[in-house]
Amino acid sequence: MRFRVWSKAITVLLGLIFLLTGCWGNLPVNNRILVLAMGIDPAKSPNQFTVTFQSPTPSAVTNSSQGSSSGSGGQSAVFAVKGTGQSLEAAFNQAQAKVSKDLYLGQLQLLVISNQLKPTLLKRAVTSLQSIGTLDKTPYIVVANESAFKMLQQTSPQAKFPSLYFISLFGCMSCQTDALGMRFWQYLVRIDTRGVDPYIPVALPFSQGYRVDRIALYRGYHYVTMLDPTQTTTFGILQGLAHKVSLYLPKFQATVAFLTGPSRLTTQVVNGQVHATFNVHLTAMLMGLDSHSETTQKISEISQMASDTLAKRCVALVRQLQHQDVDPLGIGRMLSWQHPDTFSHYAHWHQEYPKVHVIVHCVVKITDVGTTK
Amino acid sequence: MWPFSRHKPKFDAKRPEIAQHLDEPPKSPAMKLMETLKTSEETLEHVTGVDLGLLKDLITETQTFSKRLEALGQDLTQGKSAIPEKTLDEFSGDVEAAYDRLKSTVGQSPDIIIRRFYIGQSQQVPALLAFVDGLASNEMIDQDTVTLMQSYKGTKSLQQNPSTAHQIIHDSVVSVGHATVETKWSKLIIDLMGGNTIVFIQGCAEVLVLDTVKYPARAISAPMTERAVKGPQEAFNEVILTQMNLIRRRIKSPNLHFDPVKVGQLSQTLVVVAHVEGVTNPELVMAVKRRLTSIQIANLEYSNTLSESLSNSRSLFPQVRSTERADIVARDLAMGKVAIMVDNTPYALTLPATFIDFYQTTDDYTASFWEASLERLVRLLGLFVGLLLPSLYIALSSVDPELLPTKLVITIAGSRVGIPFPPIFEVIIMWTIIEILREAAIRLPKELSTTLGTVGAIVVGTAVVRAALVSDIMIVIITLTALGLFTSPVYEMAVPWRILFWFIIIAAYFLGIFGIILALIVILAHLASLENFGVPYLSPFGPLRVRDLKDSWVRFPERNMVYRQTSLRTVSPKQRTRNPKKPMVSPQLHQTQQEHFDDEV
Repeated sequence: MRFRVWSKAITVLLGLIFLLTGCWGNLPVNNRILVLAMGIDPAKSPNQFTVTFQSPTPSAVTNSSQGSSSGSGGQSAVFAVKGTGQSLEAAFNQAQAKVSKDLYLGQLQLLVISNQLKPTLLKRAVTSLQSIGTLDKTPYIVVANESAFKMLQQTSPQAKFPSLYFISLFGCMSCQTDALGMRFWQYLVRIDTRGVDPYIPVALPFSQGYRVDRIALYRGYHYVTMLDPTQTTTFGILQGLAHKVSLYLPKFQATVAFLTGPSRLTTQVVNGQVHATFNVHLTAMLMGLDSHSETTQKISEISQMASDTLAKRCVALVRQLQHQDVDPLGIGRMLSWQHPDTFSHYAHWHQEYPKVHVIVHCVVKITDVGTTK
Repeated sequence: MWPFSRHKPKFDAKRPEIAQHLDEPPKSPAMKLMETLKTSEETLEHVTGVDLGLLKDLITETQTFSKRLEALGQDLTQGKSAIPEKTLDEFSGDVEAAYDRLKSTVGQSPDIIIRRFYIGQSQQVPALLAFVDGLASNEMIDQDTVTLMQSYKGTKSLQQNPSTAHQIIHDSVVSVGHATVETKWSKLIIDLMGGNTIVFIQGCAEVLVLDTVKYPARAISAPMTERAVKGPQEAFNEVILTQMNLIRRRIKSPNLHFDPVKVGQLSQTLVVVAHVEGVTNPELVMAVKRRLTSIQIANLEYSNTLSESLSNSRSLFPQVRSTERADIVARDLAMGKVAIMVDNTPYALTLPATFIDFYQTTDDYTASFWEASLERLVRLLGLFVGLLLPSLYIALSSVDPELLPTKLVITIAGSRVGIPFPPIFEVIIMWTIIEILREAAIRLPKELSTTLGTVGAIVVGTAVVRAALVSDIMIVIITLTALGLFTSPVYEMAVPWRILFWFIIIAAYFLGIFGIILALIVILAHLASLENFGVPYLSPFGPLRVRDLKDSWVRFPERNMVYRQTSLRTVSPKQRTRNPKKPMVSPQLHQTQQEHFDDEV
């Protein structure tokens, strides 16, 4: 009797071993090409895109394990394999045909999409990316102005591989003016949720690396516009993501720096009219003011002026966003949470969004004077 | 042979028939056979090419057999004449017959000393003394037995009441501390072999068994396999009496019981079951004794031979703790466990043992509870590192690389460039080297094994990496594994993990992280299913006894451990008083000092 039970258990275990091995996915990591960054560009022929798979070169990998941080002899630490096709899978197959090892997407850290990508192509690419089993949804997503391939070709002296540069950047809150890093799953959430539109940070290559101080706004899969750096910091303040934003006040010749603090959005429906209120509470440090003029009265005045200026900037930004009919701030999403009945009456939120009455309450509290953090 | 009977014609006269038989002994079939064999030998000596060794052996055997038969016959005849109801197994009271019987059986061995002498000087009573040379104390035999008996002056009473002679000798003559009386040959021989001296007195059917045992024993040395930093440095030796003494010294209560059981038909090994009455569950003691008495083996040499009979299953995990430390045995006994000591083995067994017992040491109780808790957690960490590190390496570098941080995966990939084998082969190569080194070093002299370890670690480790057979990360992993698996303070606990290590490696190779989790669940389920003498192996974790967790992977202060382990179901669950009063918590040191100063002034 016991033998029977044991034999059954062993049979089940053996069966599990053979059934659950994940198609015998055992392949040592050195026999794979670790794709760390992937760029998606529109191809020359319509309805096709070009996908760039960027991986570290074998010599860079070897140097990395030996603790060397510099590239070998000025050679690039990464190499790119390109593939073109109507679908991501076709492009992947074409790229795989060009290399001798397994093109492995499990370690993808950076997804770069071109702002030139048509909505249909972007949708197709995003759908395909979601269905790749080895690819988790954690890579950061950035937008490249015009060409993702060109952006990936850019190197930075700060990091050997572009993907590691962006991991360091977005992984550190205090390393950015605004914490704008967006992971792929966060992007997918914004795509799939009614009442909110995705925004993606823009990585602009320059001679010494990358500049990430703007965001690209999308209405669904449609690229709408790119905010300038000032608007981007204002956007960060409205989202509660600001960390190192500063504001120069010429009247007092002083700077209110390290503006940081939460922002709370509430919605109300008054006589059928949607009111959105942003309550922004910022703390800051006052810099540039000489010690003789540091009076409580003056600091209070500066604080008041900073609050007014920022509130005006915020209102202007929201008006512009309403004008462009793009809702990255998630006013619609908040309305659907707070007033689901009202929201459900709207067949198309984008038709109602421009009519929303927006109020911004901004309070800047100066907590420290004269010292730099 | 010393003509004992010629000096004492009085006794010869008592058995004229035997004397006549000795003059013309009847030829027994054995004698006839022997004579035939001798004739054959003489004949064959002249024939060349014949091996006579076998024939000579046969003659010797026949001679021995003939003598035994003769002695038995003589004993039986004498016995029948003296006390008709006596059986062959009982001593007849005839010293000469006893001499013949001993001489023809165990007496053929050179270490058995059989000596005939007279009790008393004026009126001499024949007596016989036998002992095993080396196992018995010569001083005791010479001074406390033979000398006193030979110079005894009250032999008249012995002759008058030969049946109570043993009583007189016991009470008034011999000065050996422990003396008993025995009549059966089967028991006498065993007593003799145990180092006792047996004394036969003419006419007395009872034989005196004098405890003159003095084994050649190893001194009490420091424990070699379970070393402690601050604990007592006393390990058991092979003599069971010493083992009992060491425990008795620690538990002086009369409730400490040592119950003897004889195991082994051939070896007749003395096994002692120790327990504390009033603490240990009597059902547990009874169960242990029944298991021991049911063991049917010819030879019991080592205490670990009993482990299998005392465990429930053929599990990899030890369920009986084997220890050479007297303090651990005493502690376990005080906790309500049972200890088993086996003669000639310096390792006592304590049971029932739970999983956590194998991760507790003497140092845990001699150090502060902070240190003890830290050390136990380090042991747990060592277990996990040792067991899981290579399998995690295989799983993460081969099956699930997406779970690693990018920088680490690049480092691993870089270290593996040029290595021709997959990670599992790296592990196999390195672990085989480690096992070979371990096996080679374990039985070598200490000086050689140190050298071998150094050579193995440095030379082989470096050479293997240089030859690009394994990656340098693997050296780090295997070193940590080897160290981690031996963090268990009890050696036998390292063995199951060394075997299960492979089970987890294979699971990791096929199924990655999922496989490791699956294998761990299987192991945990097995551990949870184990039970020894009604005590769950995973207690106090499964079933969870929060009260008993105070002495598990962390150790609480002694004052918090008020109760004994619940799983042991002790008769007396409490082992200390909760919150005892502390007299003189803050003694007035300063005031007293001042008073003394004032007095001096």
